[in-house]
Amino acid sequence: MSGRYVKWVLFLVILFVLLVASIIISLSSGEVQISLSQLPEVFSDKNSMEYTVLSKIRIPRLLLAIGVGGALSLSGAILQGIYRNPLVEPYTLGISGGAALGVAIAIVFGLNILSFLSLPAFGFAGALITLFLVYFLSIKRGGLSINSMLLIGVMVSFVASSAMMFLMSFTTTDNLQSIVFWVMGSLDESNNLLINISIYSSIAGFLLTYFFAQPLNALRLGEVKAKHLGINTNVVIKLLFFIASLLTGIAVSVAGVIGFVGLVIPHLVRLIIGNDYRILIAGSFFGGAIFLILCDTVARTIISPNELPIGVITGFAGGLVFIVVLSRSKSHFKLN
Amino acid sequence: MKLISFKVILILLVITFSGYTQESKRVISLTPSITENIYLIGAQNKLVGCTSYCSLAVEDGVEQIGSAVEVNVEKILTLKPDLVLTMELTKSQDVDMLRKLGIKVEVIPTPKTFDEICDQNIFIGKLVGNLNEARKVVLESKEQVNKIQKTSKELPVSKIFFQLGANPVFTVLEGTFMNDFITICNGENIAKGMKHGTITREAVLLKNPDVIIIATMGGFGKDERKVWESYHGLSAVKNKKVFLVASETSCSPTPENFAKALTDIYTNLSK
Repeated sequence: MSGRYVKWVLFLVILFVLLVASIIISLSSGEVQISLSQLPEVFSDKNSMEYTVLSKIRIPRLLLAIGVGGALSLSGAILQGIYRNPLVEPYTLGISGGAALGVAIAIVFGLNILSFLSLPAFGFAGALITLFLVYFLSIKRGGLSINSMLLIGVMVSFVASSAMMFLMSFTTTDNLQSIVFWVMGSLDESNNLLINISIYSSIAGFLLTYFFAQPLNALRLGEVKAKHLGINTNVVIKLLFFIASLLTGIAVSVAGVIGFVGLVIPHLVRLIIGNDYRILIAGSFFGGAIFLILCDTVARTIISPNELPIGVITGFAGGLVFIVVLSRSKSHFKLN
Repeated sequence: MKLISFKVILILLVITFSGYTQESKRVISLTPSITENIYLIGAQNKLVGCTSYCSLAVEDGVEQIGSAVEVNVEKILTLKPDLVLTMELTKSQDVDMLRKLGIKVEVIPTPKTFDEICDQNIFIGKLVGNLNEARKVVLESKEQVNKIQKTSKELPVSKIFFQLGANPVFTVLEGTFMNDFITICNGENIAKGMKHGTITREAVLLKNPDVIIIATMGGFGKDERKVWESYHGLSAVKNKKVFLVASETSCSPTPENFAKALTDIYTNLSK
């Protein structure tokens, strides 16, 4: 028993070291050369370009990467737990589709010119509407049906993406470009309010989820067995579903659709440290943050001065790493 | 003997060709900027179809045959055009289909310089039989542009960043007609040598442009101006030379639009 806790603490320490390392790499790489030893000097001269670069570009992006990466990965871990399905990720349930549709509507009808907040607001509204659609359509007699929730989520997602293609087919090329790039996702956000919302909400979600670590462990045995263990599965599943959806909704509406984080990171953490949610929650949150920090650093430096959409990097890196790890791991992969 | 037959063939070719290029009387435009060119040379009475984004023509009640990317081939057919004008955005399947149906389709490439914009205007003038009007339009615009080019030689050479899109930040590249705005105003594009339009904010800061021009992009422009103005160290911000230019004129290639946008930019630069 105690051996396991030692392993967990060790794992957390390693994660923490990796997090600090990735923060340093991210802050010190980019078009403008800033080395670690220069930092005190840079922070003392607030008029220097290095200071502007750090305070206006790199630090906001770093915070957003932590908020979004943590939120998506945590949300993936939660959803894979309640649906007991390894293919579920935050976007499976149509939340990203709804958010993308909301943003597309705002762009096509020119509502984005009202304020810098209109795109995220529409994205979030789209996410909320899909969330409630999926939720209320899956309520059956005697509570939520997990399977129909999943199916309805997938269907809502398809309907939303068709609606988006419909909008895209008759809009101007300018709008088309805006929508396509929004969908690809980006951490280039200069608004402090949005960055704060993203980081605080994901930390709040992270802490809140810890209250459900043991119920999530029980749910690994299945809904019925969890009930026998004294878990009020109906309430727990609903609450977890809302936490995961809100985390995803906020992440998507601020940063666009950044794929693969929510699918790959929880699985990687599972492969490394096991299925116990008491460690999986923290592992997924920090793993997602580290992964997105590094991906964003690559996205903005690999072909500089050009920039790649971050979704390209997360897809490649996440997919390839996962394939390699899965094919080399000796133990049979299992979710429960 | 051989030479004579060659000449005969040449003459025949010329005859058939001149017959082929007879003025078109029923024209359909699949691109807003082409529609604007047609209006500019006063050939709108020959326009029988346009896209839903050709605002001038839509106001005049011209039949709409599609949007920017989707066109309704059947609808085009029922309008019995003798010429369809489009740019490279139209799907090649649609172009092939129209040609198979015996309709003359001219795909006009995206112009790379101001001179190409003028040539294309004249080309359209030739096709629809308004050559003289086109020549007049081009002459006027060229005069305006030349005047600015002359006077802007007195401006100091400035490094200019011309932003086209946000999220990711998109820049005007060399080898595009929009680069001419910069060079004609005695400027140097900070994206010199770049091949792709996405550019990191850091790269822009590092190149420290003296002037930032932002296309309005349906509202995005204003937010972008605020972002750049928050970087106090930038020389464009110190010079108070961060300004917007309307996408409607700067991004839609007609001789008149080019001259208008250039005048705007010059006025802001020389303030």
